[in-house]
Amino acid sequence: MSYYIGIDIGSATTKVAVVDDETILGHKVVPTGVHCEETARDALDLLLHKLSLRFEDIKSVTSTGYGRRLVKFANSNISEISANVKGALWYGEQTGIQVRTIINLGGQDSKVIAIDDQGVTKNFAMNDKCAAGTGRFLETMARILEINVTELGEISLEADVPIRINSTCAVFAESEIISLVARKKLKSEIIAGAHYSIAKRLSRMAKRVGIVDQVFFDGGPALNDGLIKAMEDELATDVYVPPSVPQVTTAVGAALIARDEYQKENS
Amino acid sequence: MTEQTKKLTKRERLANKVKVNLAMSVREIMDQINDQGNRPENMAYFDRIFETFEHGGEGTVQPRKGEKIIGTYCLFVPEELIYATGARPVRLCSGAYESVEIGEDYLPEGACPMVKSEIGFSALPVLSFFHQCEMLVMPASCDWKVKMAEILSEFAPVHMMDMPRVKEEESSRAFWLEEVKRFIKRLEKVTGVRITRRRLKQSIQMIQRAQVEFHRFHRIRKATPPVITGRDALEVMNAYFYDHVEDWTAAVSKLNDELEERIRNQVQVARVGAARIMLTGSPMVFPNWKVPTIIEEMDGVLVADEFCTSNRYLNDMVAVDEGTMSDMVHAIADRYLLPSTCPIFSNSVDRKDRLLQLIDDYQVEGVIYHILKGCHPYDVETKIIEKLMEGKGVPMLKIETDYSPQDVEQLRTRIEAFQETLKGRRG
Repeated sequence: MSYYIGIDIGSATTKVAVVDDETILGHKVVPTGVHCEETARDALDLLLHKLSLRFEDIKSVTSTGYGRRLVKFANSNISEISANVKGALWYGEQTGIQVRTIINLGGQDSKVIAIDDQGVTKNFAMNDKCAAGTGRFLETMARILEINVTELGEISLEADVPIRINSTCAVFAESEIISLVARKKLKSEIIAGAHYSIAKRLSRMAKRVGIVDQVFFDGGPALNDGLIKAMEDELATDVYVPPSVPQVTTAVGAALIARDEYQKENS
Repeated sequence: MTEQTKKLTKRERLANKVKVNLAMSVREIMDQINDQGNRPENMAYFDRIFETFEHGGEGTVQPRKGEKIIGTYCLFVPEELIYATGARPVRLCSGAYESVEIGEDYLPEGACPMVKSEIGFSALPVLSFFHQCEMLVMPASCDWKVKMAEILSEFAPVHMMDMPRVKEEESSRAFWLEEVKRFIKRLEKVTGVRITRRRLKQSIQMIQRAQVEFHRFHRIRKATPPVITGRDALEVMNAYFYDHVEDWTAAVSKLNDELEERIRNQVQVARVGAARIMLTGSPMVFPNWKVPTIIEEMDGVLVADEFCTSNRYLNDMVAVDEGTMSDMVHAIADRYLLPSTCPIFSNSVDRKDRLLQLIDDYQVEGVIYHILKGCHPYDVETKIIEKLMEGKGVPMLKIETDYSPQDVEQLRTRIEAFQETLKGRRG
């Protein structure tokens, strides 16, 4: 059996995934930290150890994400758009869903990718430098409200009416949320409001690209049930989130690309 | 993605989208309303009605036992006749931005946001009372309304009332009377209740009692300094859309008592020296509180308005001479046609007189003329009113806008500057 690795170095977390010729064997998510190559290598070693594999067993490594060029031990690197598409289509196939739109929300960026019925990337949109409405914004909010970012979803679902939040800017949101807290607004309604403002922003981006069902939603914030609900309301369609680990789609995609490239070169 | 939500149809999904966004807007506006401070206690009754918009309109209209709901789309629908059949009129003119986009699937880009918003609410299950109507009544008042009926007939039975445009002619009066009689027949058929002389007399009196409180309320509004803000006044009048006339009358009566008390105690709601503004033009319906909110946030006070959704609503009484059936029906038809200041009529003499009267009565310093994009009757009249105000020596600011919140800051600058100018004129 041959093994392949995908590494996705994002602004907030680094994801590693291992696949063999047939399926996904495992994946791991760690905070990116300052030295991203070391972080990636450490995470990989832990994962390989768990799978009783050695680095020497690996046929090929593909890196992706904003730190992809910093991974010197990678055999190739690829943009996160292509890796994301590859991974999303794989998850789609596993569950019988034809993915036509991918919405990805990361630590500091957001993207919408349109895929045609042949699985080819047709168009995409990304935020520019601004981290408005990304995971960073959710983290800022969680910090101000003194809760864990993983609690946001559950708390927001208790909201009666979400409060309108005008800014999804990670900086300006801080003052807006602080003022809402000062006005004794409920945490649940503030958080739900923030989710809707992110969802609105993403759905505007998605409209530019064109929304076609099925819609696949991944990246760390896709773990947040409240945000998923807001996305479904704003997009007015069902949103499919890969089970348990929506952060690793892109790393899995990179691993699958490593495999494809290796098999092509050695056939 | 839970299995439960997966089962939602596209229509349900869109309805959810409109519902949650509407709830957010309404909550925001209710917060602004409560930020006014020093509000009359009796406003709580009216707040409750509008708070129901946060929850799909559950309880906005509370029909009495066995009461059928008749949806109306204009001030021209004679409510006396509807009450006389034991049914409940509910005015469906809508001010919500959130359903405009849905309405755009049915109407051209250039249509006014009010009709778009209304169609949006008929097309989607967002506000429940839109879907509880036995029949919709649509006077052919403006061009959009003429076609609305055909579009709305997809969702509910619609009764069109044709409108004369040259109201001062005797032939128009006769024509409108026939339309009113035709409406009576349709109402009787839909409700299964015959409008008897006794029933009609009772319902005329019921509305007259509301009109008494209405006029008392507007006399109170003349107090200087004002004891109620313009936004609260608009809210009181807008509540009449949804409330039973008797309940509304009782609530306004209590409010009036409180406001008279305020006059005695010299309670103030606006800063001394705030610019005294009158709003007129295209109607404003909750939650389209954009312009009045800016006026009052920018150190103005809305002392008067001339809207078919507010000050014009109950202004004109049914004048019955003899109390025979025929006399009452004539009087009702006349009430809705002859004194109307709606710009759909060719002649704007009544409207001009009314505006000048209001300026004097309420010591108005400046007029803000509000045009909803696509609202042709008011737009057409702009120049006439501009000239009238010039003659009267009262500055006028024309604002053309829609329901979108996007232009709030531009409007704020214009309105603030206008109000500063008014204060500068005082010398």
